[in-house]
Amino acid sequence: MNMRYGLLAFAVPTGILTFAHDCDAQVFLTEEQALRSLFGNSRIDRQEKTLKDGDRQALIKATGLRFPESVFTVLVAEHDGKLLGYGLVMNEIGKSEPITFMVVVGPDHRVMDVLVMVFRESRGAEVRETRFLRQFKGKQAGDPIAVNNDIVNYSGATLSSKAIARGVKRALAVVKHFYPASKSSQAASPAFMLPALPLAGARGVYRQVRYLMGTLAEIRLEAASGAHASVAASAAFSEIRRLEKIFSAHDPESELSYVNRHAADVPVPVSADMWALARAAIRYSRATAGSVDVTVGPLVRDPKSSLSCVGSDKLLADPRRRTIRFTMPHMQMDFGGFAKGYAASRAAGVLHKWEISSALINLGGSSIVTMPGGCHWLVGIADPAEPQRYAAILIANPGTSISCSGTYERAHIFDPRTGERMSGSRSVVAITKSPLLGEVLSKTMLIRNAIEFPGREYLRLVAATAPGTSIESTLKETLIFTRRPPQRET
Amino acid sequence: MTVFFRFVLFLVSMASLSMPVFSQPAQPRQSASEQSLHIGGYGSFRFEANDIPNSAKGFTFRRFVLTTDAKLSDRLRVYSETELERLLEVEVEKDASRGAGGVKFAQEVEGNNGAEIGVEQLWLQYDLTRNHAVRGGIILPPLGRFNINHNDDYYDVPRRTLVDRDAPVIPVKSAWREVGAGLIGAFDFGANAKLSYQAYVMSGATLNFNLEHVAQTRVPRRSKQETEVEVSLQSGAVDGTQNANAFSWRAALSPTLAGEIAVSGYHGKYTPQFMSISEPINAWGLDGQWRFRAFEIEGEGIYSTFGNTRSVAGNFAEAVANSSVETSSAEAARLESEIELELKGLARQRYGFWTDFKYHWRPAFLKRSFLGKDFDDPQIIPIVRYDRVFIRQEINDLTFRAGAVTAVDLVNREQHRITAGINFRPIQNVGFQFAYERNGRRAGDRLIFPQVAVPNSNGFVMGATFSF
Repeated sequence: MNMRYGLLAFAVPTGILTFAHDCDAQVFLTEEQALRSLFGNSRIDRQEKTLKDGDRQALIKATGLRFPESVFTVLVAEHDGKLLGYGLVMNEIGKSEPITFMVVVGPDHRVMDVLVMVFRESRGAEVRETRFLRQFKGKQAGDPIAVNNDIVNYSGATLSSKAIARGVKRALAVVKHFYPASKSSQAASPAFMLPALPLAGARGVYRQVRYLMGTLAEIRLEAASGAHASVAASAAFSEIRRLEKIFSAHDPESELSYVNRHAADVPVPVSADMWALARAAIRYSRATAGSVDVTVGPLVRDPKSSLSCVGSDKLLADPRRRTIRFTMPHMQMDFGGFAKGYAASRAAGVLHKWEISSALINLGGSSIVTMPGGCHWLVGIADPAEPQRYAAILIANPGTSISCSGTYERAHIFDPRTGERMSGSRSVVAITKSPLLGEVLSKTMLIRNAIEFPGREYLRLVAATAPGTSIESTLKETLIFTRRPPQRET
Repeated sequence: MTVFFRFVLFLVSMASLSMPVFSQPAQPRQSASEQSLHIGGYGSFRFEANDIPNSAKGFTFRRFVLTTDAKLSDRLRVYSETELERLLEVEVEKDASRGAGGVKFAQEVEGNNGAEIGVEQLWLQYDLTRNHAVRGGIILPPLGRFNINHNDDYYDVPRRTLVDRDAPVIPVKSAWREVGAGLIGAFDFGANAKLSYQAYVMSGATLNFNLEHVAQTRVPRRSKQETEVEVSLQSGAVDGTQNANAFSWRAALSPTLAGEIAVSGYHGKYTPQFMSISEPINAWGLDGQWRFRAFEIEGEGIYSTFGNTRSVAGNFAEAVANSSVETSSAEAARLESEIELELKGLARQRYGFWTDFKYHWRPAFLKRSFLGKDFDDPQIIPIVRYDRVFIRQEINDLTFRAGAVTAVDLVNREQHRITAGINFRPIQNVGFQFAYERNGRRAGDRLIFPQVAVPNSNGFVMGATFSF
């Protein structure tokens, strides 16, 4: 026994030393490394922000925290004139030593990442771990960002956990103070205001239409006055325009185009919006066995493209660094209806901030969202055989999403698994709580029905109105074959 | 005393010098090979009153532990803890002088009762990778969670647990340290889970002795000099005279940041090398901690077995019987000498558990009150702790003749303790603790702690803990 343990004492560490020889033992990050890990080779502008008394008081008032610093150095990352984010190096006392870490804030004023650069305490180094730091991602200045509130502390490292939380909150406040929303892409206010017109026959209901995301975008809303309606609708449209600049596959300046150009070469950091939508799209692609796929971009541009560069399984999403990388050349993402659904729901969020409780957002008829707290809305469903006529009139409850996928106007929908383009007078309307789920359901059903009923034209209504209904859950379905004379059901 | 306080003052001054003055933004020290030395510490003192007859109601300076943490490079670290327990002073005076008819050697040791100074930890850690390291030196065997998290300011009641300290179920009472070496590290699983581990080979707990001398004058009878040999389980030798007999390990799975659950073990031989038998210690632990919002539960269970303790006792008896006593002084005949041997706490099995239930209460009024004003995150923590320990077949009395055991009196002991208290933490590393505790004897002729023959005892303990 003695010999055995004696040998163990020698052999085990020696064995580990041998295999660990080539392992990465780097613990700390330099400022340069921290920034480059997120923004690649983007241009970094170092900006000094001096805290005057007024600034300090405003920051203290906003956070309830202390700001003893006289100067903050903000690292601003840009690429091709596009703002990628801000980096602040914070030094927060843990137990008795300062923890040096970088808080990276996105253009939307939300935390993109937190990277511990130097840890000097005897205990509590666990706060360097991803599972702790990831809690801060997506946080914004208005969030509590406090241990035992929205941050779970690391047991045995409570002081270090609090220090990181405090630093993140202070960094967000500094960015928000010195780089207000108008300089970022956060759309909390209308960028370009147009009057909302009262809707004939509906008292207190206003309507405004703009051309956005390649289609007519319409907002109908209930408001106390025309002015209130105008400012709220314009703010919502600004949000849709902001998202168009991220998700447009046609705008070479969009974030999506940038990702499509570079992601085959290097992991590309993406905005919080693109990250959220890409993750959802990947999840839904798996759930539908590839019936809907965000990497369908090459097929959309050239139907003869090889299927080898289509498939979400060829897309690497790194949650720690929030980057996207393509594993195959020529891959391209196209969010299509996903982006519209996402934009409609975000627009509803903006309207809510402007104290609008009842509204309908309609993006070209393919994504329609009603706000949760308002009235019921009548929505006409076009007959795919005769698009000028209604095949059905739906009464949309508050908080409903209606997603329409059809091939009767143009054949732009592909089966990502086979590359086959869907055609014919077909349409599937999905009624759900979530616009993303609705988009998935309508596209999946359209492709599935095209296989089940080849050569027949139809309108299919799919309702999944229970909260949290998944693709696999029980659905209420109505199938309407529309060979003339069209059958109509409501 | 003066020397000691000067020493403490010097160390505290050094510690304060090492703390940064943080009024303006510190430029980040970004060197990957940054060296640092951090001097810190923790400690506690308390006031205790209970209903045990003849016990004092008074203050205890429980302990003060000085820590040093030197980061020699990114991958090398030396950490130490030096404990001063109930220690006010140790003063040694020596004198060698020539007197009439010869040389006179004199040595005088002054100190206060119960004082102890010791090294609790002293290890060098070499990081192999980001998450894995080799650690060697005087380390804490990772059996259960208390021994490795024994800082006073970590806990919310003023007294340590029965399981780990007062009626130790672990082989040696906490803080139990051994000299050894091994691995420490963690594996990440998925986005949230982590499996951390520690595994060490070490000298291991062994039966060791303490000598107690009693000088007694008795008139008109002869005076008496008594030597009591107390043999008990203690940390192993650190001077290279003991084989590396033991292995201790712990694996903790933390599925989320909310908590962890761990299993641990200790396996070794505790009979000293001069004995002709070899008996093992095998101990297993299950511990964990979980938080749900402001609620927290933490606990530990330990089960230890000590092999054939009767044969250990018999072997001691044989060794004692075969020993001889010599005296060469005629004057010694007028002095009665007595040697007493006590096998302290030798039992076949020891097991027990403790659980803490607490709530981290952060009422809004606290920050507005004089108690919490100007503190970032003051909190009040109501806590209930339940301890229970079982000692099976403890050798209570041993009769032997000519080196052979003729009778063994074995006793089972069992005790529980309920502690209900409140800890006010103005900041995370300072606590003011108030607790009521009730010890209850469940089996045996006396309480295990305190060692008094009463069915139960009630006490009130209030104390303060701190670390820096």
